[in-house]
Amino acid sequence: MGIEPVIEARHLSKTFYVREKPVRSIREVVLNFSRLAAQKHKIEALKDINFSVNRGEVIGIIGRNGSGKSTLLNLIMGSMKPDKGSYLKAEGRIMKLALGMGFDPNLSARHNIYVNGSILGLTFKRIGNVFWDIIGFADLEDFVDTPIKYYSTGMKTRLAFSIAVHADADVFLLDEIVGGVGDEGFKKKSQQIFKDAFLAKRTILFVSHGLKNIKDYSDKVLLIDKGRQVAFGDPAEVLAEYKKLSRQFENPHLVTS
Amino acid sequence: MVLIINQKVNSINDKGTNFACIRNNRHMKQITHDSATFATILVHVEKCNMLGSIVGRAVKYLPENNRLERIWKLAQIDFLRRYYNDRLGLLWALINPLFQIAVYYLVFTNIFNSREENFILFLFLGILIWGVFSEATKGSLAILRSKRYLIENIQVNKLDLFISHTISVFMGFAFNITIYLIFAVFLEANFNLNIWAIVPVLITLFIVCMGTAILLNTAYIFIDDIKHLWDIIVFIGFWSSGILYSVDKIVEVFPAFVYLNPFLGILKNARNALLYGIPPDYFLLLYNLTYGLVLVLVANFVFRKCEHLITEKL
Repeated sequence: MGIEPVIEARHLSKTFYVREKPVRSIREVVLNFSRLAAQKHKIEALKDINFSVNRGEVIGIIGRNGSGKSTLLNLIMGSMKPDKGSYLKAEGRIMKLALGMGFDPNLSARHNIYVNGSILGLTFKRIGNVFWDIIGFADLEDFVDTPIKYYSTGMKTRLAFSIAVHADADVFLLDEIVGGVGDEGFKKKSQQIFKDAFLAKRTILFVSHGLKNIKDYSDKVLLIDKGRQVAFGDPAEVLAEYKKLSRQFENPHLVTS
Repeated sequence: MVLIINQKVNSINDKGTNFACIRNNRHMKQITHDSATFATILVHVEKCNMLGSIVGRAVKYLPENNRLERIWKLAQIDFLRRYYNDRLGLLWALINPLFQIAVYYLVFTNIFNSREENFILFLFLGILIWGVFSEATKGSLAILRSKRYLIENIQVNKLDLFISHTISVFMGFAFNITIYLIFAVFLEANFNLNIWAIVPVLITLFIVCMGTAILLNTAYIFIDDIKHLWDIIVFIGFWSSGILYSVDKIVEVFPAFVYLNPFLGILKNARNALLYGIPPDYFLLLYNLTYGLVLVLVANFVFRKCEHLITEKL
């Protein structure tokens, strides 16, 4: 069809092997050497996920707590490796935005902007050019050289959002900070940006429990439950599915009756 | 008065890289409180800024490269954090080796009757070089945790983290080696054209440190208390690398050890260049350089195999 998907997952699975008692010290490694394989406890965090995302699409990801949403984002980031047999393609510079993310708490906003921007592919010259835009957008003019650890959560999120918007990452993974963050003023601004980012052909995957956000912003929705893909596609249909699932979860006896 | 100093600090800051930035902010507070320390603070800020702007200028002449810039910035930040959180700052990096030298000097000249020529400089150089290795490897164990914020949220090349950490250790070393050179002039070390050999020696030192740091961190992904084991290895290394006595004495007893421990060759050639003024041992120079390169390649290969486990395990 000519459109190359930016992110594509086929039979994507992720299994964790967890030990009841973690073997993390030299003594334990030596003592447990022969039994290393035996005591493992298998957790299938994700099982057979199939979806693809085209450039410029906004994908909402929903699911109850512990359903594997964060693991999915980590896999796309590349900070975890999928199981054998999985196929996962994720192109471009990817940045994850989550609460309390991406900053060195002991450094000032200035240093953090340079480090983060640079990793997202900007040269220092370009960062210098947009530096005050980033600060201005996040309303942090008075705190440029204050260490991040003194920032409030709202300030941190605003800064992360602002860096991401100015840094031209190709794919954004948003963990629970969709549909605006901060007070009303900033919320409006970030909502606007959220729509503009869509217009600017950027690709966004976001995790949210707010069904209204999912409905308002996403082109497609992926619903996962207990690591398994329940539905992927049109928001209205998937949301109906999700509501059905939640009802089952709240009143298990309803299903049987 | 406060205003003038504020302006001066600012102008210093604007001139060079923003090397003094973190300090600057904190110092502003101090300045308004404590007028007696004005002079010392200014000298301090200017000194650290001088070093920064020299290297900063050198970096500016390089072609604009995103990766180099980033590595340099991370190294700078690392360096600032290590030394500029306390008043004496960089001086701490010097005080430690100086005290070690004083103690070893007294013990070895008075009790063991060491007859090394120019023993103070002999010790100074050995302890400085071993200090680089010890700091570059031990300090690297904090990287994966302290830079976790980058690893998890942005696709950072982890190799950059190791390169920049090693560079930051070498920044402190650059300061120390300058002090050594000043000492060496006064204590009449032999300087001549053979000094060129220090360049390959330092390159070897750099890659050996980096390779070891990467390997150590790979182990750290799986074993939490590798630090204690490493402390022991560093301790053994300190006593077996010819820091306190001539390298030749070890080679006489264990000839093969020179192939195993690159520091025997590194120290020997560093002393030849910066103390005795005689040509390097060319075989060891080349051998160690190759040793270092192989070490980095192997370390990188092993680390790449395991790096996806960082988020899971740490």
